[in-house]
Amino acid sequence: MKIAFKLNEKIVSEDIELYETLLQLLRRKGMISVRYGSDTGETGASAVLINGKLINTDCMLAAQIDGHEVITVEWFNQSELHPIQIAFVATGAMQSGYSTPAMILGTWALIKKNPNPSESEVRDMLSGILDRETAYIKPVEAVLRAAALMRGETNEPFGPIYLPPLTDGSNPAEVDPTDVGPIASAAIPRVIPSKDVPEMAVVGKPEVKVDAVRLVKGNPAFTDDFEERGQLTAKVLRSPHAHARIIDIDDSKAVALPGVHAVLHYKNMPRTKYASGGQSWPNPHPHDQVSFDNKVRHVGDRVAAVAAETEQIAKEAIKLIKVKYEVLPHVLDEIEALEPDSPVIHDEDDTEEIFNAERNIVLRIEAERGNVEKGAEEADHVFEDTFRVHQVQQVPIEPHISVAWLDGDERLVVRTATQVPFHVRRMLAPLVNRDIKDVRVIKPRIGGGFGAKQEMLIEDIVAHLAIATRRPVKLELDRSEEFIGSRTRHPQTLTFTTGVTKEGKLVSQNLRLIGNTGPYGTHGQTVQTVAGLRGLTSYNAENKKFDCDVVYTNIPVAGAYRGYGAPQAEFALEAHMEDIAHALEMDPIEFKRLNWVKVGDELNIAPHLGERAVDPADIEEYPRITSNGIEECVAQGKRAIKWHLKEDPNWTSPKEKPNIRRGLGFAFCMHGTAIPFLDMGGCSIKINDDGSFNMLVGATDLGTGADTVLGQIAAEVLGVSLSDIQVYSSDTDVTPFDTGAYASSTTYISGTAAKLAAEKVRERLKERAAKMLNVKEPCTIELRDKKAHAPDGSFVSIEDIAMEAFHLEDHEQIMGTASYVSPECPAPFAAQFAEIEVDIETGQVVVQKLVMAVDCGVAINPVTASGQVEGGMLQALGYAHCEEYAFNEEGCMVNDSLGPYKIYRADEMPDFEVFLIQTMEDSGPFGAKAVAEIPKDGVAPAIRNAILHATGAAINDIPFTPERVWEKISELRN
Amino acid sequence: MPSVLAYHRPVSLKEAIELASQPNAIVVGGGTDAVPSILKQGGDGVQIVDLQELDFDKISVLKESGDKQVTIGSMTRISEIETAVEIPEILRNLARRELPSALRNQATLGGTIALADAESVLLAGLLAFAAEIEINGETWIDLDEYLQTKLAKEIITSIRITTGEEDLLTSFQSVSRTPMDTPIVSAAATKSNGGKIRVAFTGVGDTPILVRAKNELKALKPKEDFRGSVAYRSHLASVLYQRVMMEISQ
Ligand SMILES: Cc1cc2nc3c(=O)[nH]c(=O)nc-3n(C[C@H](O)[C@H](O)[C@H](O)COP(=O)(O)OP(=O)(O)OC[C@H]3O[C@@H](n4cnc5c(N)ncnc54)[C@H](O)[C@@H]3O)c2cc1C
Ligand code: FES
Repeated sequence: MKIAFKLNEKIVSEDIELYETLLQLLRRKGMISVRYGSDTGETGASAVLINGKLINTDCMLAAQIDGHEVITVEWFNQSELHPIQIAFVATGAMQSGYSTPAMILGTWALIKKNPNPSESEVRDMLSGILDRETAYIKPVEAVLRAAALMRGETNEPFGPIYLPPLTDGSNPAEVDPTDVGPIASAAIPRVIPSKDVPEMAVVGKPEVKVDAVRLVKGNPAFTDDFEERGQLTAKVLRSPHAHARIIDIDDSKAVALPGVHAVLHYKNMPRTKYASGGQSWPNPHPHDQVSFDNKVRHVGDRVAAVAAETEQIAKEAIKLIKVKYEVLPHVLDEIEALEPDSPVIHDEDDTEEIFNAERNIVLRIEAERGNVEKGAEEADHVFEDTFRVHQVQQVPIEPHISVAWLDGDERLVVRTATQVPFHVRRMLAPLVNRDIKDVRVIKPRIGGGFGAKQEMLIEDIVAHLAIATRRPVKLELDRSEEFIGSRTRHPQTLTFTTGVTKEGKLVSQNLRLIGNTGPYGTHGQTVQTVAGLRGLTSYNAENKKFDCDVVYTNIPVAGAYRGYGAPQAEFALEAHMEDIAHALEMDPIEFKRLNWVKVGDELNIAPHLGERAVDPADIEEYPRITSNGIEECVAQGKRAIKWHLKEDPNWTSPKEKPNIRRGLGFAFCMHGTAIPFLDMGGCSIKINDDGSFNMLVGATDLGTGADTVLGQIAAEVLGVSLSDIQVYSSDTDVTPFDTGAYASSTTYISGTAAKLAAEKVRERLKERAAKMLNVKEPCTIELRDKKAHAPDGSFVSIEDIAMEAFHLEDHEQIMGTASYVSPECPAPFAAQFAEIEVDIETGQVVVQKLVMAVDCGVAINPVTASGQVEGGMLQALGYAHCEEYAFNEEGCMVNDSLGPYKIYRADEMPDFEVFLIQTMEDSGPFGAKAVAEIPKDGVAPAIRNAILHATGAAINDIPFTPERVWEKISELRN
Repeated sequence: MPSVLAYHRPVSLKEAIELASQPNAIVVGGGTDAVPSILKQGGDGVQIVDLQELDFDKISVLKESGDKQVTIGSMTRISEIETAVEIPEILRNLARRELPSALRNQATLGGTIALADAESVLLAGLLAFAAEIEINGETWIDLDEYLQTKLAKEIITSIRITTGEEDLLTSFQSVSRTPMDTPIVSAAATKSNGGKIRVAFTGVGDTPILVRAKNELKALKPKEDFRGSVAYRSHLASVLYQRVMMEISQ
């Protein structure tokens, strides 16, 4: 059919297919700012302006647009940024930036209609665009600032406010209930500086993200924004059964379909065993996967893959594949899976090192320091509580997507949305029977990952298909596949047994954990280990034990998800500690404070857990806490949440709302920073003629601002501004090795590598400058303002040094390469507070406010750091409150779309307030620790403890959905 | 293989009715539901009948002896209902609650009614207002009756509500996982000046339904899902019934 419409004010007439969506048409026409996030308008990533209104293009046919007007962000793009783009850049309103073009268009339409919109009108406009990263806080600020700019007003520069401390840094302080704290927009980070931290030029400054312009313009950035000539589209046939043997596959009809180039399945593919978790070599056993198996172990498991000329043909071919299944009984629950009569999920004979395949036990993890049994005997009280945490998904708005092809030298190239390009290269090579040198992995920008992309998930499929067809092949998961066919958070059953003296001192703590990894091991070992670590290092006790079974079931596969075992363990721990405090009639914060780790305390069970676990007999010195700003965090948080209201009956039981109870809750949070002796980062920096630098990093910026932060670190060392550093990440052919973006390691590990590499460059610059300035001692030269200064006031510009080195004397390429692996794992700390309302007649919980005060060392960039905390809290809020996997009798997920699987949108968010408490972590680059994961840890227990405060109901399983809360309240009444 | 055989944009109602009467025809209003379901199903192929060219997107008001009658064209977008001053405030709020911004700009009132989603708060509101539906531009039937019989293949052309005096009492109460989530159960109620009360629910039947008297609550047959068991939904229905009744009797 032929249609005509206006695209960015130009008339376009176009032949379209009747089944083509407007999204497909616009991308085909080169409008790559319009992005895929779903098929039913759930995410808003595909929204454009149609006749001036924000409308999704994924649930609209191209035919419907005939005669109408479409505007995309490309229309705004001039060499100068549009005021809306300026406001988004200035406030750091985008992390991955995947949906930023849609937000900019919505902003334009809103301001056109209403030049002075209120915050709630802005939030309503944003309600159709889901964001997993910013918690909408900085986008709301951006829209309000954009409106001001378009009204001709000017905005204050965007940056943090600095607050005086409330404590002396190590002791608790009383908080004055009349002190209302700072009055400032929620988007503005509240920074509490430390006198131990020196003033710096670039580090600690709210620098604009290095990729901001690219993202607000919707310029090519993501995997799908680049297309190879002759690219085929792949689709995967997935299992409708939770557990079945494949008796036979007949692909003859699919193969015969015109336009189909390859159909792959167990009958025509080699059986090479692997484990898909993106982790350091050697990948933990068991290696229980193959690319295509003759057994399926969850609904959504792979059965076959097709590559065809178009997506439509590939979809059709999938339907033509006939599969004969022998359906087997299935099990979803980790406790049931351990029963002797449970179905055996891995009964194949070629998977090694399953701890007990008959009983579905992937592996056992045990670690003990001291003797918990003896400790418990000596205790005055022993408390035991069991908790269940459920399955949720990372929900990156950009789904998993990979493209593979053979280059001119017949090397396999994979462009893929991954957090771990180097692991993918190493893990993929044997599956396609190639040497590592014949595989190249390119990671462009990623539209969110959160751990879901710390996996070699679909790269093998596109690689096999590219080799089979000798054509480029692209595979992108749809939203349903993202739920059932990618990775999720591990459900767990956790039992804490804690011995306490009558004064409230812990003497023993035992954590028994049963972790549900789904049908494949992948991150099963490491996630449960981190759960053990996080569950058992927050509080001092002489005797500690971790006792864990990792169990196979038939749920969609669990894997890495931001927080990595910590959110599960800290929910249980902080709930358990709260209940002990109540039982001992102690104030919960006082009780926790009596026991939590302080500077100098040992991380006492830590070395016995993890990929490089050490036997207690072999340990001389335990790692210790080196910095801890928790008391300042607690004080700032108490003030912000109005902790004194806790005791006010007029507030907790408001007269005017008889069915409402209000509550406040607290959780102590502690996380790690990178995996010691394991996580490695590399960086290389070279100078250019004009005194600018190219910086190559293997680290992967998921939208977290890593590229910016690493650039800031190098700029600080080199005495230049951030704009003089061109950051590139990552391509296994070009950039240095990096383990990848996970385990809160990028700033700390890759940041240190960046600092070391920059220092090497700096030394060369100083030596040359000294020579040029006739100074004897290069060490007296100082680099600042893009110049090298001698003590006598003379100077030479970095540009002149570069020019001399390239063109005049002692010719050389000034460059530095460095790598770093840390012997330490300094802990960030945080105080998480929540304010909630419970409707005691219905169980509905409304979260009113979340406050997090984080000690993350020195925030290299307070704007991106606060953005990390906001986004992390948003996901943690979903985990606590409304996100869940629901299954039917057949083990099939029933809510595999956004809506039924509920994630928060802009117009229903509680208030957020974020405090960054500075401490000086001497082991980190310029004092930094991690910040990305700790915001995942405390929201669920803080809300749980607030519900307990409000209603007396102690709820030990999440999420706090209305019926669950209502049941618990009803139980309490009866 | 392509699941769409033809795309029609009728310019008259007569043409639309003819096209829609073909066995493989699917009427499209905004398409937010129809388009994804057509593309997902594939199958033998459908003919799309897109109503956008028809002049069905007007809102008009008729005042007669104290009564105010508002007629809304079926192609009116949900976002236009939200902003139309002629429409009672509670319905405008429910229009906003129905869908997030971008979908609201696309979805139509006709599509929403035809879909008869059991969880549509806007439909509950319209039921409480005793809305009537115009079918094929000629016959009017009660929305209540339409939802129960679901006249397949007929085209909804407009919707009208009649409000008596200005001071009609209204109430909306709901329980949901998050503040703007689709409610598990919700109740919308109106009380006319004459004292006539209408209460409609979502989440307790196959479509939004009217409950004419308190004792009818017992007869409700909610469908359970992971957000609410039968017992819980029944409990919510009685709590919310009480709440809306209290609000409109104040
Ligand atoms: C992501 C998402 C979230 C949603 N959330 C909710 C929610 O929370 N609550 C809720 O209740 N609903 C929800 N819906 C459903 C939504 O309300 C409907 O998709 C929308 O209102 C339908 O309007 P439409 O004009 O786009 O209909 P279309 O998709 O065009 O049509 C829907 C149906 O109505 C028929 N139809 C359309 N117009 C007419 C007409 N004039 N006469 C006769 N038949 C017609 C079509 O044939 C089709 O069967 C959601 C939908 C999506 C995609
Ligand atoms: S340059 Fe060698 S000590 Fe100064």
